[in-house]
Amino acid sequence: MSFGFSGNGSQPPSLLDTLIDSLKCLPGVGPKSAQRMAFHLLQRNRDGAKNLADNLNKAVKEIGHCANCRTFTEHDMCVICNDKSRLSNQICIVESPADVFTIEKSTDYKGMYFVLMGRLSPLDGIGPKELGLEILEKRLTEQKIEEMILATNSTVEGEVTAHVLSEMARKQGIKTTRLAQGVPVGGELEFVDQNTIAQAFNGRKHY
Amino acid sequence: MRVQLQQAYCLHARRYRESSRIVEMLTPEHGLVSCLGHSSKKKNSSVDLLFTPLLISWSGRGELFTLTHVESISAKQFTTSEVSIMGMYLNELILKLVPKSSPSKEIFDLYGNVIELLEKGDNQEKILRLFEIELLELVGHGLSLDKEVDHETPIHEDSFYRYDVGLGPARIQHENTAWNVIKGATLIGLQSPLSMDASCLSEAKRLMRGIINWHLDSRPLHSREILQFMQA
Repeated sequence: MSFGFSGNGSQPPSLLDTLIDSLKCLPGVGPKSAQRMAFHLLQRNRDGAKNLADNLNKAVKEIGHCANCRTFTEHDMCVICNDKSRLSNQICIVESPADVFTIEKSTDYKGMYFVLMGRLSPLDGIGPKELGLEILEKRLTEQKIEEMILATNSTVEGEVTAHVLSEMARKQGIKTTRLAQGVPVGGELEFVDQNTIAQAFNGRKHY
Repeated sequence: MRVQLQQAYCLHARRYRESSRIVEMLTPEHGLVSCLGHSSKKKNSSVDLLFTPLLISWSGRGELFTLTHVESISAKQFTTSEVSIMGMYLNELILKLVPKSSPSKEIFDLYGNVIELLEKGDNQEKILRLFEIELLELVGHGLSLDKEVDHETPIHEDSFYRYDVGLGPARIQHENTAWNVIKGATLIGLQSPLSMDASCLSEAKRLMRGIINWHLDSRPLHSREILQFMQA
């Protein structure tokens, strides 16, 4: 797509056009924002742009998946899997590497992780193979795991994924727990949807 | 085009950009409708509630419409994940077998009834067979279950038949292990799947799987893979 920086239409797109078009691959970035970013980098922060380009290039080349938990890392094993002080008998299953960051930031969980890189979604063509469930099954057999924490999202697909995982754990005699669901902190009951209220009510606890 | 408060079931939702989703809706008067909905906005918060009866409004033209209103008629969703996987199977079958522009109140009613039956939790395998047979009938691939290929000879309970898709059952002398060789009793059972004898269930499943594969041109059904993974 040309943004008008190539002169007449018969010439190939200019470098500037190509840069703007490339920036549009970022989530939430349309033509206007992409143009603003490109001008900002070229006009005001060329060093930053060079740094960004180098790091992007390096990251794309070197970052792969952890052999143990499948999260992103440039090494064979990620920092968490390499940390000997963490509890190896607890495993928390999440859908994406972003969920690992969130749990690490907000809780004092000291166990291990397994990142599915998605959730079971037949209509998107994502089945057990795509989520690396065979790798997880091997891990459940080989490592001494006592508790599997199911931290998949609270969507139909997330629940189905959690169910399949809990069946896998049950066959190996491993205890499974699921993240609690209910009224968000600071939330008002009036504005919470029916399903969440129902979940919260059924999962009420001693106070 | 502007459509107001149409009954619908959401069959599939996939993310589109930050806060939008593309949803596939099954409606009685407009068949399968693809809509773009904003999932984060409060008014559309139930945009991707699968298996829940919804009332939706949409506007626009072309193939992708804009969802302007969504509300769930009841808070009902499947209570167990096992049933949700079966529900996903129904959704996958509809999206792969039903042509997009074919409004069918019958398909909508069949889906609603089967969802309710599955939720009640009895004879789920028989309910799936009922859905498969009726759906194939409604999309024009109906099975011939009461007469042989000559359209005259009735099916005998104790005889063996080879079921050829598109033609019907032909009597054979000896049983063999091909997927489409079945007993007459299974064909008779499939005429009313909900009261089918339990001994015919596995043969009925094998036959229906083969027939559906044939109609799908061997495109895989991923929800079936999940069910098989769980049973392994």
